[in-house]
Amino acid sequence: MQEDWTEKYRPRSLSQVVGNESAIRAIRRWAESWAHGVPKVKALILKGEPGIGKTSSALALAYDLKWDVVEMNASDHRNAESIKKVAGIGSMTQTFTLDGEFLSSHSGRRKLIILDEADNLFGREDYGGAKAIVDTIRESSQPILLIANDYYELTRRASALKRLATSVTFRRLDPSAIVVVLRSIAENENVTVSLDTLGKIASNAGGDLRAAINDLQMIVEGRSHLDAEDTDVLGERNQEKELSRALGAMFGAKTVREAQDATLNLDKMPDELEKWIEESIPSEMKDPEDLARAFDALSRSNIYLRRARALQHYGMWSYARTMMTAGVALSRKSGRRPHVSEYRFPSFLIVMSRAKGTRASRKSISSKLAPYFHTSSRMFDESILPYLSKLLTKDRELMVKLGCETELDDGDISNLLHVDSDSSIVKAIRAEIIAIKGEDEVMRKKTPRRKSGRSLAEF
Amino acid sequence: MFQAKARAEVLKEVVNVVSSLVDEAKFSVNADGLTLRAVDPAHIAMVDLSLGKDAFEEFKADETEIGIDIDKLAQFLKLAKSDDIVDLKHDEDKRRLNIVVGDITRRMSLIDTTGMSDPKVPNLKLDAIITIKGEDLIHGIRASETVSDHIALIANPEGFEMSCEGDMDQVHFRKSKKDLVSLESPSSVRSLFPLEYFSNMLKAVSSGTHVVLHLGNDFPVKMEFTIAGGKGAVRYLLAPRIESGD
Repeated sequence: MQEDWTEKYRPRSLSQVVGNESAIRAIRRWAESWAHGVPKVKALILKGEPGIGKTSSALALAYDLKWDVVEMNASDHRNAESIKKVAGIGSMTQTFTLDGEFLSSHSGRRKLIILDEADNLFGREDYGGAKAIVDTIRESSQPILLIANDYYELTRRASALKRLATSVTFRRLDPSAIVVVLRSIAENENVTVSLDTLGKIASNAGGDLRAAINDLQMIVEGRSHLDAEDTDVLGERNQEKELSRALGAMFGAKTVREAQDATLNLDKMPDELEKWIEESIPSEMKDPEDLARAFDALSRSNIYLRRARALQHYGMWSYARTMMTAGVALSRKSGRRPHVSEYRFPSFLIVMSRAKGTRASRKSISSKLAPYFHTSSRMFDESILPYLSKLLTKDRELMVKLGCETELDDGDISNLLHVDSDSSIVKAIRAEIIAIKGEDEVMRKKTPRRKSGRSLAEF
Repeated sequence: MFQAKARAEVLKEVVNVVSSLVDEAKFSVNADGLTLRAVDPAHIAMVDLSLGKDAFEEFKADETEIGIDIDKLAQFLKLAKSDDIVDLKHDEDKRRLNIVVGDITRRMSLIDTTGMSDPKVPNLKLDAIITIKGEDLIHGIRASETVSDHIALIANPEGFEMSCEGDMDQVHFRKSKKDLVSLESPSSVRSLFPLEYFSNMLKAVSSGTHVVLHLGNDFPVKMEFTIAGGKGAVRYLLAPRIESGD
C-alpha cells in the first residue's frame, strides 16, 4: 500500500503550515516563552474542527525547536493512570529521546507533550482522566498541547483548564489555501491536475484539508493525470444526500461486504449511524419476520456499541458496524423491497434533544440532593426524585428545610414543585430559607462551633 | 532463526528488567546472545540489556529481531517454576514465538518491530561512581517510598546519600565510604529523580548483586548491575526531574 499522503506531506515546520496565521503566531509566542524557564501558561488548547492543522502545527513546532515529542492519542490506552504515568511523570522530568539522546532542560531542550483528541480522552464516567490532565498541567515543567474538536466538552469535564491553559482557535481553511497545498502535492507526485479540478476537490472538502488530501490521493491512485470528471466519484462530503444514498445502498446490499462498504465513507459515529438505521428499518422492511430479524441484528449491534463505550474499547465498533449494516440489510429474506425515497431523521435524537432542558434540570437537582440522601445521583433520579417531588408539592415545611440544608437554587425548587421559577411560591420559599439560614449564620458567629469529635473528658 | 532453551528464572529476570519501563519490546538476537534497548513511553528512562548465549542452556541464532508483548510473556512465565526449562523457538513465517514449558505450549504472536526505535546509549559524563550492595539500595528506597514521589541522589568524597523530602516528612539514607563497596566522587554531586521509576528499576536486582550508580550534577543517573548469575548485564538511564525555575 502507498504511504498516506496526509502523513507524507505533514508540514515539517510551522512556516509550512497553511492558513490559520494568527493561531500559528500564538503558538510561536507561547513556545518562545519557554526559552527562559517554565512560563506561567504551561499548556495551550488547540481547538477547531478536524483536518485543519492542529496536530500538524503541534508536530511542526516540535520540529522547529528540536523538542522531543510524547504524543498520546485516542488509540492509546488512555485512562487516568496512563495519563499520570506518561504525561504526568514525563512532564516533570528531563528527556531521553527515542534515539537515545539526552535533552537537558537547562539548554532549553524541551519535551512537548501532545494530548491529541483531548475531548475524547475519557469515557462518560471517567472523571479521573480529566483530573489527571489538570494535575499534569499544574505540576508540569514541560510544554503541553491539548488538541480538541469540542472545546466545550473538554472544559465541561475539566473546568480548571480554562484557567490553566490558553486556548487557540483554528478555523476552517479557505478553499484557495487548500488548492495551494493540493497543487504542490500533485507536482511532487508527478500528476497533472488542472486548477479547476483541484478547486473542485478543495471546495468539496468544506475547509477540511485532510479530507481534501485524502480525496486527491484516492482519485489519483495509480494515475498520472486527472480530468475534471474524475472528481465526480467524490460525492459531496458530509451531506444528508450522501447519507441517504449510503443507507439506500446498504439496504439494497446482497452481501456482507457490500452492506459494510456502503456506509464506510460516512462521517458519522457508529452510534449515530445506528439511530439512522433504526429509524429506516420500518420503512425498508414490511415483512414481520424480516423486521424481527433486522431489529434483532440491530440490538446485537447496540450491545457492542454499549460495551465499546463502557469499556472504552473502541475496537468493538467494527463488530457493531457489521451487525448494524450487514446484519440488518441481510435480514430481508422474504419481503420485497419497497421504494424508499427519503430517510427520516432519527426520532430518538429529536426526542432527546427536545428533552434536553428537562434532563438538565433533573440532573442539577440529582447532583445536589443525591449526596444528602447518601445515594448515587442516578439512583436518586430514578427512585427518589418522583416521590420526593410529589411530597414536596404538599409539604412546604419539608421544602424549606431541604432548601436550607442543600444548595438548591430557585430553578431547582421550581422544577421540584412543577411551577414557574419566578412564581410567588418559589419566592416565598426562598424568603423563608434565607430567613432561617440567616439566623444560623448569626448563631454561628455568637457561639463558636464545637469541634466535630467529642473530647474524652465528656465521657 | 532463533532457538533456545533457558531456565525460567533467567527469563523472569529479563522480563522484570524490561517490564518496569515498557510494555512492548524489540529483542535483537544474534549468534552471541540477545540484546534489548528501549526508551519508556514518557521518554525519561532507557534500558540497555544484554544476555550472553551462555546464560542459556542451549542457544542457536542468526541475526534477527523479535517484538514481544512483555505482559504476555510475563503471564506465561508465571506458569513455570524457577528451575523449569523453557523452550523458545521463533517461527519466522507465522511471526510467532513458540514457548514450551513442560506440557504447555504457547504460540505467542509477535509484535511488528518496524517503527520501533533503536536508541543509542548516549555518552554522558558522570563523575561520581558508587558501587553499593543491591540490598542496601533497596532498603533505602523502601524507606523513602511513602514520603514523596521524588528522591535526591547525592554523592561526595565522604559517602553516598539518598534523600527524600515530602511536604510533611523527610527520609535520609546515608552510607559512608567505608560501608560502600566502592566510591569515587571527586566532588559533590546531586540530582533529583522520580522515585517510582528509580524503585522500579531496582525490582530486577537479585540479592547478592552489586549495583553501580554513575551520578552527575542535575544530570541523568546510570545504574548498572548483572543478571542471570553474571551472564547478563543491565544498564538503566534515568533522566532527572526538572527542578523549578528551569
